[in-house]
Amino acid sequence: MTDEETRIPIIKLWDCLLVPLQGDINDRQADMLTVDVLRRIQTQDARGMLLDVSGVWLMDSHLCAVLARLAAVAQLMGARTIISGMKPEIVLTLQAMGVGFERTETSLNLEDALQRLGISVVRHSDAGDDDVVAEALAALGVTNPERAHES
Amino acid sequence: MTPPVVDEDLSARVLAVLREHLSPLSAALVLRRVKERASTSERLHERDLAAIAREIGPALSFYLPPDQRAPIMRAVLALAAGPRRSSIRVAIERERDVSTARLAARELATEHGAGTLVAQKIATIVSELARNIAGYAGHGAVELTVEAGPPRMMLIVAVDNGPGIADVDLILSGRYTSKTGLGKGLLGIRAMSSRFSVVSGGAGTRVEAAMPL
Repeated sequence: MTDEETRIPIIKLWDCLLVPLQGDINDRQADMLTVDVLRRIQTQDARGMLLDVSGVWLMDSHLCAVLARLAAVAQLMGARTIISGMKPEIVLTLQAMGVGFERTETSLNLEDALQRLGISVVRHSDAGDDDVVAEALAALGVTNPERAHES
Repeated sequence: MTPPVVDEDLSARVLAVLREHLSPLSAALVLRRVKERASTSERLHERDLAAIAREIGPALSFYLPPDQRAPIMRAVLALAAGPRRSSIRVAIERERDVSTARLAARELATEHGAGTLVAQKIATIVSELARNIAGYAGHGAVELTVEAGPPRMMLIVAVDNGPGIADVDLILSGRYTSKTGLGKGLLGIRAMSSRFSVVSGGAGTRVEAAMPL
């Protein structure tokens, strides 16, 4: 398989980078990923990186070290890393081995990680409804609905 | 030496297979019918294999046509027949063999009735050892053997004829943070194993670890 075929994807998510990991990561992939991540942090001014491992069924001390190094390197460029989606069996095994992530944050899932990076969800009912609301408020001369009733 | 009969009740595992293909209610009814006709007790054992073989087809015929019955029958019979192998050996020459080794380890452990966490720990030990071989020795093998006991244990042996681990005792004492991460792996394996030994020298390394199944 060529390098291109095995390259781990990096997905832009607002000002963060999402890296979905699957299966195992060999040394070549880890090196390419590190270079790609650094380049993307720089060009996109990314301030957060989400390493999602929900597609990984086994993590040993080597993989933990690879991910910890990746997080350390991202931090040198000012980006905060959160590892999300570790399966319970992985967590329990790492704990039994005394292997862990001392200096890298972990979270239960992507939603939790995004929230910690300051990204939260506002669900709108319909694009059309938002326009109607915006127009009506503008017509009423209300610029800030949160504070409309303050005297 | 034939392993002693493991008097495990197969009902739960047969039910799990059935539920992959049938609704919970249908699966329960099939299992009940098989148990009523195949088993002399309330449980299903490996010694009931002949009877299970006779009853599983007819029991499923109420719910599924013949072509859909075949894979389920094969799976249930494989369960009842018991694990076909009690040991495996994986040669470790390159990085991708590490992947092969740990998948094989998980499979073998599961075949012998290990729960998901135990299977995960065994696979992780194998991953650590295989990676060490691929990374430092270049050439070796990992062998897994199910020891009948009792207690039933999974024995993992990793051998290579690499340059050996310098300062094994120092690394295992936990006081030395190895630059390469080799120490962390070995210490982690030892923490999870009920038996553990490392013998290493210029001619190579042999690591043994055992864990209850």
